[in-house]
Amino acid sequence: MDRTQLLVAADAVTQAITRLQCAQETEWKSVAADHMRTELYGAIQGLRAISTAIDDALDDVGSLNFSGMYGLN
Amino acid sequence: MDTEQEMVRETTLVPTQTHTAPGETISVAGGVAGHVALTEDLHAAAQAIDDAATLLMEATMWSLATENQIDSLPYALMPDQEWQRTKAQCSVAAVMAGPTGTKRAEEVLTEMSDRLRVTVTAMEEAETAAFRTISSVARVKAAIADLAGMPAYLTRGLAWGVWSSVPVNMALRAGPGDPVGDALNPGVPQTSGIVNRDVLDGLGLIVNDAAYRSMVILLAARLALEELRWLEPKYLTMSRRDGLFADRHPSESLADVVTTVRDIEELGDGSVAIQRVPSADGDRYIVTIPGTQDWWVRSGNTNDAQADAAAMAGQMTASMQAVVDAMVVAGIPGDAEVMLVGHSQGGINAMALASAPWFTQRFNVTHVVTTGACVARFETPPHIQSLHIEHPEDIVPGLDMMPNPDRPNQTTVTHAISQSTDPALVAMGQTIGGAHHLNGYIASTEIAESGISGSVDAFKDSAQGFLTGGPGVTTTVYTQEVTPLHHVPYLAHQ
Repeated sequence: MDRTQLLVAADAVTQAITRLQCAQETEWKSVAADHMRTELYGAIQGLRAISTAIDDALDDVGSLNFSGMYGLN
Repeated sequence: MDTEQEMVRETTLVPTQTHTAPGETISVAGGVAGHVALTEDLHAAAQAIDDAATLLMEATMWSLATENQIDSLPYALMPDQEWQRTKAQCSVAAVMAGPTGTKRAEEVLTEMSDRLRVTVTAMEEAETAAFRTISSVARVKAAIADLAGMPAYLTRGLAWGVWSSVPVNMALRAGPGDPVGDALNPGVPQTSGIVNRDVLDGLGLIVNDAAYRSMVILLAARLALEELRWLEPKYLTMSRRDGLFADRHPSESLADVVTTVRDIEELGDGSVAIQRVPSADGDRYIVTIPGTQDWWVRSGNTNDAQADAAAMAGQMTASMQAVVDAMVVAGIPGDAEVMLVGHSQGGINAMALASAPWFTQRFNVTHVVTTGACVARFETPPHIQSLHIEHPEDIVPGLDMMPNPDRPNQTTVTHAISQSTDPALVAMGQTIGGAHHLNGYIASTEIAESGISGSVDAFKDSAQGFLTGGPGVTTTVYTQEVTPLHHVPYLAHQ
């Protein structure tokens, strides 16, 4: 698992927010879109937190490999 | 309120169309802020969220597999190794578990992409419903008013006809004037309530593409025969006509550009005006194309009824050739940016040329502006931005029997002039000829470019290089040369 993939996903969600923002600036104003924007910001933070957690897990699993319990990937 | 009800309430869209021009009923479709451009982006956003959810699922799978591998490791003898194993187990579990773990985040994102798609669908449906600029009630009222006015119109017309035929009337007209005749003259009947774009759009529902194409091909062929029958003078070439429009004010707005169309159209001889706009990064050219000027096929003017039908049949016409010839005579370089502007048939020609690969390879068309033209069946390359101004009361934009497509590079402004706050526009909107007149379209263009829509603003911004004004701008008129009339036996006797 590569944590950078999740950071790319966070960027994609950021892009989704930008697009929603563009939509809200047109005549197509949507109450749902307003709520979603807040939730999407939460999702970005979640993705970043998960990528950090994966980073930690990779370090710990790597330590096990280093100490001779190989076979993990 | 349960979740489902809340979802319905939340996806309600407000308001659906732009009405920022005070009192005007006007809508804008397409362009960079059009619903296709917008919903394409939002569909892409939903896909991006789906992709993120997929990555989270993969992260969960990786965590589970790693957890199993750690569990299956042989018992460690050394305490520090056992500590490392426990620590790794906790770290991997933390990736998946809890409100911020991969499992929950995947659920949240999947639900979010579903909701985004619901919102996009609601936008698309609302756009479709709101595109009609005049309410159903107003449409029915206009139709009833026209029908109710018809007996009175016919009665008045009959009285006027009778009055016109009596000798005293003739004497009055020759002398002091005829106030009675003037009062009885019914003028042009109000018809836009029953003969308008709605009717043609309705026909479009039962006439498929193949039938439409066959119809216009047959009409074009029939009118071509009429041209032969009447020995219509043949178009030869375009030549520069010095003096005309030489002191013309440079275009600084889209309304100025449309005003030039009106003025070139009033010459009535198929002339094309080309405005050269110099700039540091190269000259730009605005090519102004008139509409139909001969409603039959006898005058030799290329802008006739046959050219209308032939252009809609997808054929190259003499009136298109005249535009090309004018551009060649003007010496427009292949890399210079060109804006094509046309009304009615001129708009059809502009879009037909801008969608023809041979033409766009020869000239660098970047912008097209049309008024009162049926252009829905033409598709230009994505780099060409086009703006179409239409009146729903005008039947001409509906002669292609289909609405203009909503594309990111194609913006349509529909202004219901019969609902305007301007009495002059309301009066124009009552009749077929009035609704198609360029004066109404100049007014509509002024409103369209007054900041009512992101799509129109973006179009105007991109076209700013053509609208700089300035002292170096020159306008030249190119006029048609045709075979001399005395070569044509029938017309020589007219």
